[in-house]
Amino acid sequence: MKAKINNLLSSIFEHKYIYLMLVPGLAFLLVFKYFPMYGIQLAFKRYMINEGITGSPWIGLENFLYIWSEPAFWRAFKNTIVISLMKLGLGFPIGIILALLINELKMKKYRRFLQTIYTFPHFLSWVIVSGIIFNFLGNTGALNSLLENLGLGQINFLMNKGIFRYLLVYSEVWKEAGWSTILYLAAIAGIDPTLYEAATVDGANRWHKIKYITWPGIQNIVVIMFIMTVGSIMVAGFNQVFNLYNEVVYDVGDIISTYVYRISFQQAPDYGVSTAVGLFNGVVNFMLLMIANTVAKKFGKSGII
Amino acid sequence: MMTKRKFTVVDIIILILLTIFGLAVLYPFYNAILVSLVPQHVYAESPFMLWPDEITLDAYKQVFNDQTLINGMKTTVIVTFLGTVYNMLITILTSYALTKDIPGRKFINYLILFTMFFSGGLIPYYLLIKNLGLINNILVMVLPMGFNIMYMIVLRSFFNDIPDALEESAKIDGANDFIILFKIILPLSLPILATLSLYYGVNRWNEWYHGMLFINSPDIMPLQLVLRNIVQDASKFLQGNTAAMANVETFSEGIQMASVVTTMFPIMMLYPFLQRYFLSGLTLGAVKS
Amino acid sequence: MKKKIVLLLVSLLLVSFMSTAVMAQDENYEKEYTYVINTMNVDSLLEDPRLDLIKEKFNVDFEFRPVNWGNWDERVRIWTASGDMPDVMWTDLQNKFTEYVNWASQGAYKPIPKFGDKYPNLQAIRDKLKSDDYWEINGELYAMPVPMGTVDWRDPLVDTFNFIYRVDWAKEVGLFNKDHEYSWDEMVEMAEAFIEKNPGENRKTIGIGGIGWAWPWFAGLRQTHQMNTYTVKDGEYVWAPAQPEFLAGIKETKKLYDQGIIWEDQPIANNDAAKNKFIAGELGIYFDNISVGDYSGIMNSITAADKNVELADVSPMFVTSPKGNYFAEELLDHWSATIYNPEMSDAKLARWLEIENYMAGKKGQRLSTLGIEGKDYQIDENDEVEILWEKDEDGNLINPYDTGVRFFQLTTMHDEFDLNNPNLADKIKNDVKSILRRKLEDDVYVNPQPYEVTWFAGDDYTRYNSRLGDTMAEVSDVIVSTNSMEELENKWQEYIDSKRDTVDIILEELNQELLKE
Repeated sequence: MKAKINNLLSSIFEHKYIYLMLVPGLAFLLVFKYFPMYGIQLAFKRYMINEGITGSPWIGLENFLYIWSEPAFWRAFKNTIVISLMKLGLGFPIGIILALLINELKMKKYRRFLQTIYTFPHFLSWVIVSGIIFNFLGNTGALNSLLENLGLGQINFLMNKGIFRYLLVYSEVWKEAGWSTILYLAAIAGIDPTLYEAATVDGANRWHKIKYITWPGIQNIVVIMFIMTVGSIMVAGFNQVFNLYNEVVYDVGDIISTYVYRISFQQAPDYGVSTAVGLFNGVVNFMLLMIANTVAKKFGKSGII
Repeated sequence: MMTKRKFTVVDIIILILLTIFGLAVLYPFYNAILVSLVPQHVYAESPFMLWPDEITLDAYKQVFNDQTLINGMKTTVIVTFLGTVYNMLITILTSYALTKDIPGRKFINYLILFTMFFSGGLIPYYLLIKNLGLINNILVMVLPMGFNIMYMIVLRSFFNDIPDALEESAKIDGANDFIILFKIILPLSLPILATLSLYYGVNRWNEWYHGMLFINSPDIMPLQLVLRNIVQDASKFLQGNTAAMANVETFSEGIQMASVVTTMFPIMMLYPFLQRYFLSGLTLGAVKS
Repeated sequence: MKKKIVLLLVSLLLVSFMSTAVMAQDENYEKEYTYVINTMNVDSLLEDPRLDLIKEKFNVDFEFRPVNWGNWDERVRIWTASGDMPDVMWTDLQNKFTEYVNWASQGAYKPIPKFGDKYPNLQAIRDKLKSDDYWEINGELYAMPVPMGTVDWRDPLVDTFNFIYRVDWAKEVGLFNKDHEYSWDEMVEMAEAFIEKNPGENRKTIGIGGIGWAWPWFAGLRQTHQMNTYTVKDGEYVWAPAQPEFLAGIKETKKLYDQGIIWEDQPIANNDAAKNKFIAGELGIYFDNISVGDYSGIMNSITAADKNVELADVSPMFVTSPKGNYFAEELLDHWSATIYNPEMSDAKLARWLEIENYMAGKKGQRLSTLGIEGKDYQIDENDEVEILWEKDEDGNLINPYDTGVRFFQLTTMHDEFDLNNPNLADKIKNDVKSILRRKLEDDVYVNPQPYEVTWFAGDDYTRYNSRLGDTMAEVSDVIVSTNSMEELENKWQEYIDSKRDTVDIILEELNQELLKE
């Protein structure tokens, strides 16, 4: 027993600089993240301003039951999950593919130029992008007038429940794919170029190189990005949906954050309720992340934990 | 890339695909610039233009007329610089430390991860900021940003990929962990460091929320907040006009676009300089040889 | 006994001497106070010479916390919730009444002293307004409303929501009426004519459109059911969306939408999209809150957009409802309010109330709307005001002050002044006045402002009313996505049934609390 403690202490001393390196990050977390966490108890209380958070009365799960008893909440929950899965399945790979394609371009100057302009939409807020989309896809917009001129009749893009989710997926691809390629290209830059040279000597073609050198080289990053995306499903997407949705597509497009935002406008804000929603989101996100992490490990990749 | 390859059909297909995506991305942005340069009736007539019928600098005039804009730019430049350095420092130290198998590592990992999901809410946070004396203080847009957990995990993954052999030989030569980190690891990680600096830089540059909640003096409001105010005012701008202002044909979409272009311009100027760090071969291969 | 009376009289005398001494001291404004206040356009305000006048006159200084339309509510709430309120907090009580009641009852706000003779102008405001009576809690008032300037002569205080239309187009299609009076069917006919005959020479002309947030009620729904959400019918409260009149209104709107008379992109349009179409000359009939500011903005833009369009080519359109009457709504008698920090001393609040009292009076109002006496205006022998502002090339007066500054409207709105603003073309002012006048005529049904419900803080009402917040969204949905009137009725009935339980809880409380006398 004593030997074990001695081992432990000497191990700690051996890594003393490492522990030192952790001090700033942990200090930051302690002050700015952990210290205010006492506020989580509000999820189980009714906030009374003159009692403060600690003095406010406990009401058990009442805040949660209030939220859960409304069917619109579960509709929003379902939409949140479905839309996120669609984005992961249909949108997420495009950033990777784009990075791989860019990497194949040989013309240096043109490549740099393309890389630069691909990042532009990232800087436009969803407020602006939604205006552009509206002007383009509206019934009296550019695309529909083109279709009419071609004799193909109108399509009601923005009020169509079948199309809306795909609109969310692909507008996000348009906006963010270019930005995400920066990270993947940085990962590709870290691959030893001699591997490619050796492969050429061995007679490998372009696709072999991608499959056996490039892809394994960026796999770790892809897995991390995937897991982190899964771990933020419940809270992501507010700005996009808020600016793009309309009443007709609430059924398929209303997500948790837009739903909560709407109801908080029609009544006095209940800090207990909003904390409860935050807690609910956190728990679900955490579970999702753990699942994604475990799945990744099962496939032999290193997860986050 | 020494070997010359034939220009194959696949190359052409890739070129075409990438160019199409480039146009799909570029046109709306080009349109945004045009919207910032035309008067309202041209926009109302056809929001999608190829070439503007009439040009006006009124939207930009209104944006730049705002006294607080210069202060906003100054504040944001300071915040971006301080913030990025601060962010990167904490991220680098924490990431590297977590690549080492030290006692308690798993616990610390969970400690960090936990904060991604659970927070105490706005009231305790506001009180904390108040008690730290950060209300109306420019540092409120720097200090609470700490480090981004996702970026930290990404950087840790990159550090992990660097072969242990390099570190071990340095240790034998008597280097401590700090020296190894700064003299060996970092120079090998330039692409990812450049990427994360860019990501952090853009995040700090776009900061407005903390400014909105905690800053009261107009001289230290961040640029994005100032621009948001200008756009907000523009939609109400047309009320109660003076005769002089009535001749100015600004409209909220035009001002929005003008503010977007104003924000993006500095970043677009900076990005090409960072691009040289993304060249492959800058890391391991180069060092090996 | 005599001794005691003398003692009492002497002490009373002493006290009154002391208090007059204190009051005299106060009128000398010896102590300087600094007030923390939230307002808009702080940078312009800090440069405003009128602010210096107030500072000197009352020996005060200010520290401003900026807010704008987008973050106003959020900042106010977080300040109050964390105990970081400014001294004078400018906010809005609509849709927040329960917050107000909760926080005032818990001591988060400072009670406002009775005004009496000390603050006659403020007392006059309290006398003429109704809202403040509902805001009293146990006899104390915790928020001072900012009255509409026109509340003096507008009784009832009707809204300025109205249609405006292209007079030149109406003439061209031969449907013009010089009084601008039209029945509902005539308006629909005109919209159809605009679309068909295309006097605007557009690729596609739109018939009727409106400001984004007024969808879906602006074209048929509101004019048909003509009631408030919670309305007394046959002696008890009912929920308007469940009434047959409401369904009739939805159907009216759907008819117009299906026929393509209402702009088909209206349900998804951004707020100003229809306004832009009107300005671009693609829309013939537009619905909005025709305030002086908004209307002059539209007029300026449309005449700039097309040199062939003059001010006379646009006018308000007076349309009777599908029911045959003319419909208007009574507005609330105020907009926004000020709340005071309980940590302020009574003396500090007293000084601020003096400032407010001054601002609410004639001189203060002139400072607020015109500027500084002697420099921006002067009073001549007949007690008439002569404005001394500079003029531009066309002879119009130029307002030297930033009209975005709201600080000087903390005690009264400028709507009265706006109606007579020397800055604006006569046509614009006359048009808005004509709307107001039309709404005061006899054939108008004025839907009363439900003060008791607007200022109701019942527990059930507060907790459950938000669940009915998606009603208008449901209306929009049934209008757009159903293919027949029968389908619409069924879908709507489904929605009403699904809300039955929630509505019953609220109605029970309303009936109990508001109708018990």
